[in-house]
Amino acid sequence: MAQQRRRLRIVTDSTRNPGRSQRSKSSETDMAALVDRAADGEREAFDELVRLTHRDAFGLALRLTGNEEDARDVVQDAYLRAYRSIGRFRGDARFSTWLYRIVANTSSTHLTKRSRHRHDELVDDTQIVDQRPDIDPVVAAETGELRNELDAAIRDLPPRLRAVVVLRDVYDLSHDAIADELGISVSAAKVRLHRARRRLREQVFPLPGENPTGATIHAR
Amino acid sequence: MPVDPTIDDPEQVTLLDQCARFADELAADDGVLSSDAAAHVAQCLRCQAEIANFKRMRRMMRSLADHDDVEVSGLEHRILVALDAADGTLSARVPAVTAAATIGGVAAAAGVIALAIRHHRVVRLAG
Repeated sequence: MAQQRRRLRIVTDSTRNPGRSQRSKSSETDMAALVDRAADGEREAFDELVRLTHRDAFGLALRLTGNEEDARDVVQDAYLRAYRSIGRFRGDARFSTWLYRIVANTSSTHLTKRSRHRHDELVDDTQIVDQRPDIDPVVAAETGELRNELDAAIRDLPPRLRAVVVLRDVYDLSHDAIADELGISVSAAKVRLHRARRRLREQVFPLPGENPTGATIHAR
Repeated sequence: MPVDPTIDDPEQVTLLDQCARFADELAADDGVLSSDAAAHVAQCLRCQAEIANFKRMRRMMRSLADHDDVEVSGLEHRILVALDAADGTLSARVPAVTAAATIGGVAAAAGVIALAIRHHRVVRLAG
């Protein structure tokens, strides 16, 4: 692949990045107040939302596009879209979920445009190369190394499978939201999700008799 | 679900066929199995392991974003400048040199247009 792909680094020290699940309820309240002010046209409030959320938005864009420059373009475009439509944000979802949907939609558009120029990116049968070290999965369970493996396996998925599994399993978007933002049916989203999960499971947690490189062996 | 081609015991092959049949249900995230699938899983250690692995994998995936350590230097600035541009304001975040160059460029373009209009009038009068 001609373009350099940026890889996400996974940290095990949670104090460096408190993450979504550990953020306090008060910060959610603060965020809601900022959203209200931004919806009223207060630019400083929107700037503060950018400061608070751009790292997560970039993480998602990087996972979806697999490329740092594309991810930066996607995030910039996503915030422009969010800024133009913040007045229509209903507040029945969290701002971060709403933003993730915009990032997903923007990434999808970006990847579609890009695929017209780079056909090698969207081929479904991309060769999966197993670069994992020899480890005992039982011993290494829940460790940073296994997370890194999982992250690498996600990166190696074809973009259309990757988008669905990342949005559902990493960022917790609903099936309906995923289908809406990717422009596919809910049943198609579920089929892709199951395919992606099976590939990841075979890659990261191979059962006896399975080839962990992702190649499946069928009896008949 | 992949099957070991060396297995030739008909009973085991039938069991593995069932594993393949219920594979999608095992990967679903609602955790609800049909009665057929539940009956199969109750007697199939392989599918029990499969379900355990899926659960473990999904738990790990939920924690992935919390452990991201992404390098975002300059991104916030870039977004804010783009928002300034969308607002139609000359961004205070744009360095003075860039702002001066922008103003200079606009002034030069205006000058060229004025000259072109004047030249057009002169030609018309002469004609």
